[in-house]
Amino acid sequence: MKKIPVIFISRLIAFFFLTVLIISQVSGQEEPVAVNLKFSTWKYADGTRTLVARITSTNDSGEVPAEGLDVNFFNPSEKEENFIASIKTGPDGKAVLTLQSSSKLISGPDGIMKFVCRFDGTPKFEASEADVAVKDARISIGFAEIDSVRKITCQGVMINEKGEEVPLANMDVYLFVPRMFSMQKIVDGWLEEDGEGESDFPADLVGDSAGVVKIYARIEENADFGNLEAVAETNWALKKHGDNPEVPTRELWTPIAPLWMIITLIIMLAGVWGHYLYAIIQLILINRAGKVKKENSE
Amino acid sequence: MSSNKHTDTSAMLQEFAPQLNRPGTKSWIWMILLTILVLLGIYALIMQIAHGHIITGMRDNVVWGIYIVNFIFFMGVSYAGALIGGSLHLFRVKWRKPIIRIAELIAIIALLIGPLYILLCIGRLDRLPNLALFGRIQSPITWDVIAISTDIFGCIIFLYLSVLRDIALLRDYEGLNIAPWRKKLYRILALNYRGLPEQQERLKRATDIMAAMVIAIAIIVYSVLAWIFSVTLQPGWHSTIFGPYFVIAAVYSGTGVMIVIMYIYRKIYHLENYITQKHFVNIGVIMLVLAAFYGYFTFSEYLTKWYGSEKNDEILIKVLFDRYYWAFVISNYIGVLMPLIVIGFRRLRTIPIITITAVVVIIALWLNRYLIVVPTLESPYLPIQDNRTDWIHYTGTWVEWVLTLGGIAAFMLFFTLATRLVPVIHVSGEDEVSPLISVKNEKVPEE
Amino acid sequence: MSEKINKDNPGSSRRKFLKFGLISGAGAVAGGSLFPSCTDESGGETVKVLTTDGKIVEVPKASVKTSRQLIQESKQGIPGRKFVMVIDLAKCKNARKCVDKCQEGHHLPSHQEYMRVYLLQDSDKTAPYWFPKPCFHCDNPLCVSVCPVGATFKRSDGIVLVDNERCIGCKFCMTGCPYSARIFAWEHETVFETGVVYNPENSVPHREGTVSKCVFCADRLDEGKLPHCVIACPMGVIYFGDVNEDSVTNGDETVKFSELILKRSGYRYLESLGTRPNVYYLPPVNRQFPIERGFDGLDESIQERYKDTPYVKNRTTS
Repeated sequence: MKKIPVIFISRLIAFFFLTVLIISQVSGQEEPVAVNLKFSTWKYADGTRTLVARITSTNDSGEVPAEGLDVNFFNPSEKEENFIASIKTGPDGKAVLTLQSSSKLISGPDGIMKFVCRFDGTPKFEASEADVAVKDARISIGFAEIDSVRKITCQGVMINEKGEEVPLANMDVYLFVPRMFSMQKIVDGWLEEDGEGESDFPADLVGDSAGVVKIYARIEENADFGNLEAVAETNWALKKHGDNPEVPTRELWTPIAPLWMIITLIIMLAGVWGHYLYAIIQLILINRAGKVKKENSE
Repeated sequence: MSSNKHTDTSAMLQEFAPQLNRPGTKSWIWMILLTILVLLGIYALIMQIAHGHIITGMRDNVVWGIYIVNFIFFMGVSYAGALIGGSLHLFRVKWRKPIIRIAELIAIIALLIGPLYILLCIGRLDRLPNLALFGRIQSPITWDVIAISTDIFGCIIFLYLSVLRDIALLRDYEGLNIAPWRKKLYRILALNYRGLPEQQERLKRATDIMAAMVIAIAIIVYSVLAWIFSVTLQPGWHSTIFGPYFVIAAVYSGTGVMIVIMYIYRKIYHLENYITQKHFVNIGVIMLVLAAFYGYFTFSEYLTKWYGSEKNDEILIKVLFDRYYWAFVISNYIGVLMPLIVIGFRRLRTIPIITITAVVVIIALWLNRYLIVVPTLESPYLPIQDNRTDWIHYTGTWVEWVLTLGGIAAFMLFFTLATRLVPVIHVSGEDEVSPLISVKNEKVPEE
Repeated sequence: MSEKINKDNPGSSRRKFLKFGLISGAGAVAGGSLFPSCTDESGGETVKVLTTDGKIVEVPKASVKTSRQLIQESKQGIPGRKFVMVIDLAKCKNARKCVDKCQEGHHLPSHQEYMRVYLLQDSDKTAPYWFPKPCFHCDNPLCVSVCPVGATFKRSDGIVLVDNERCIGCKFCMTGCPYSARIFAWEHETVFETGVVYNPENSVPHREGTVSKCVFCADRLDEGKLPHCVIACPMGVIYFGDVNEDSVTNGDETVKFSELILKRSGYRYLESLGTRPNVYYLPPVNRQFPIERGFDGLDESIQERYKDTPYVKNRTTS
């Protein structure tokens, strides 16, 4: 008597779970995945500023960039959000908004500009938001030959709340050169009290075939100023080997064989097959001699 | 005198004609048996093409196995035939007549079987023309392809020159009971040879030149094959003496094969008067000398490796003595000592014992080739770290053994067919009749 | 569009069709392909290609080059470059992510590896170490010298590639390589049936009866991306770069190649053989992990590989 309700209830529960399972499969409802949103800002020597939002999601194989998502950028003041633009993320998961030096950006009384990026979420990905607050600053890079010693010079200025340029003091600046896959750091430098810094030009730096190299100066991930970058080009670097068209050499592993091999082979083959030819000629003459005799004797 | 020669030759022809007649039942059975073995080999080949080379024992480290061993072996036998045949002819060795044909036939037939084994080893047979289209001169395999093609051509010409007079005799001999197409074949192949002085002179010159060529080619071609191994960096292969070592081992194995074939033909066609004990002893002496050389080279190889005890050489020697102990003993001890003892002692120089020694020599040298190819590949510079035993150690599978048997059967089959076409003993006399070929029923002189 | 691949008995006519090389391995040859070119919505023909991420996508036939063109182009090296790899043995803990990613990116069957990790110990008293070994792309490549048909070739940027269309499968190159870098396709594997256009620069699809090996992911280099193994390594063990630029990177840090080798005393494996390899090793000094970590979480079958090494033997007896 008691068994029947138990069996009935267990069947009901099973049925319920099954239904939920089926419904969830049929409707294709999936939980939106959490995303990682990294927001940073870059200021360049010519005054342009970029806002970079990178969206990735984490799965079993690691971080995967999320492409094609709309990111909204804002430059909020006390009162308003001030929507700037909406950019779609690219294949690398980055949405980059470029602001020209002429753009009017809203900054607070202490000279700090706020930026916000927001991703509103899709059925697949959760919404996310990030913000960054920086003061305006700028660095520049140049080259100078002082006392016949080649140097790289760097200057940094900060734009205060009054709009004046003030030297950027005691900042770590790294110098990079672009390489095939990445940027290579060549100098760990800093700006002195007066916002100026210099470093010897590395004597063993390799450029392109003409010795031209681009050098990037960067202040990275600074709490106050964000990222600052400046770039300049010079032909002081060492010339790079290998840009000249290759003269095909004759080696064991090249398409064309060493000359001595070819000559030896020809001589040997000619010698051997020459003898074969002689033997064959003898055979032909034997045949001919026999025929003649046959004809003569008939 | 010319009538004597004529009588002698025609008497010989009478004796050998039966060989060339229509085959009897025994012959048919023999040929069918061989054909069955060859067909089994073809079946194994089809299986290999269908399933891929995975059904052989070869894997990523031991990429060359029994097929290459057979290739080297058959090529070695071929070059031995060429060398012996050429030398016997060039030096006008008095007792060469009965056995020189065997040497020439070995040269060409083994040369046809050997390259088949290379083809078995090639992964993409459908791309074989690439060797001709895109051949690279820097590659030892290209050298080998050129060399083997040259050698095949040379051996055919040499055989043809040697056989020409016999074919002319057969063409003229009335007592042959053969099919009309064969008679026609003989007529065409005889090239109107009538024994004219001019023809004799030309033939002699051509044969002398080809004999010299064939000796030179045999040495060069087999050295090229040796260099395929010795130019690589593999421990155990990268040896400076591989060229001469291979040539010596090749001729050594060839003498063994020659003795076995001499024995078989002697038995089947009752050629006791022609292939005498003297022949066996003489070839046996050549075998002894070569055994000594072979032992010398092998000892030199292993002494150098063992004494210097470079790390990879040590590993190789360890593999040889651990895994291949008996093969090593048979190949390098018994294979060297047995001929030395058997031929060295007069008492033991009987035909059966010499033949048994020849068989042992053949096996020993096949094992020697195996020990050259496989253990080296099993002990590369970077140790094989794998969990599959068939990737660590090489074991020949049924496919490879069946194809080995098939190749041997094909060799014997071609030989049988060849001796149905031409006499197995050099019949035509001229003034080069050997004093050993005596009148029938006369006792063969001792020594 | 997925194709059901008939991987049943070997006697089936489909496999025989493949065996005799009548398929070009690409959808590019209409009518001769196991996977007939599909048509997309617009009605144009499409073919399958392998992306540099190891994925197979279908693209319009007109937008990709044929196999023949790709082979021809693969013989040209990237101008001005000379690629080099540096492997830091001090950081390797046999995570095998390099192996896995390489197999994934090149659609290799699980038992075949272009990048192999050995457990080496140079002598009794010296330290054992994990040794990842790709192809070294030597400057004096014996494998290239001995190839009778020129199916393997060295480019101006140092990379040695294999042309699977020309390879006759003689395996001479495999005996020529002293580092056991090459593998052979002994049988037909289902992973070969990707149907993509063949490109020697990524060595996909592999073909039965031919040789293949690590290609330094030449197709990825064309796009300025690092090879799979470099990115996959969680410890940053593998550095890759251009000797002419004197720079190598492991994805995180970029260093001056000459300085790295000088400072860390880099060397080449079996230098005395004279092959002039282009992969340098940094000796396992100041190890980040004890050797034991290399066995953590390792599959049984892979653990068995090392059972004959002196290290494992001593470990079990002591």
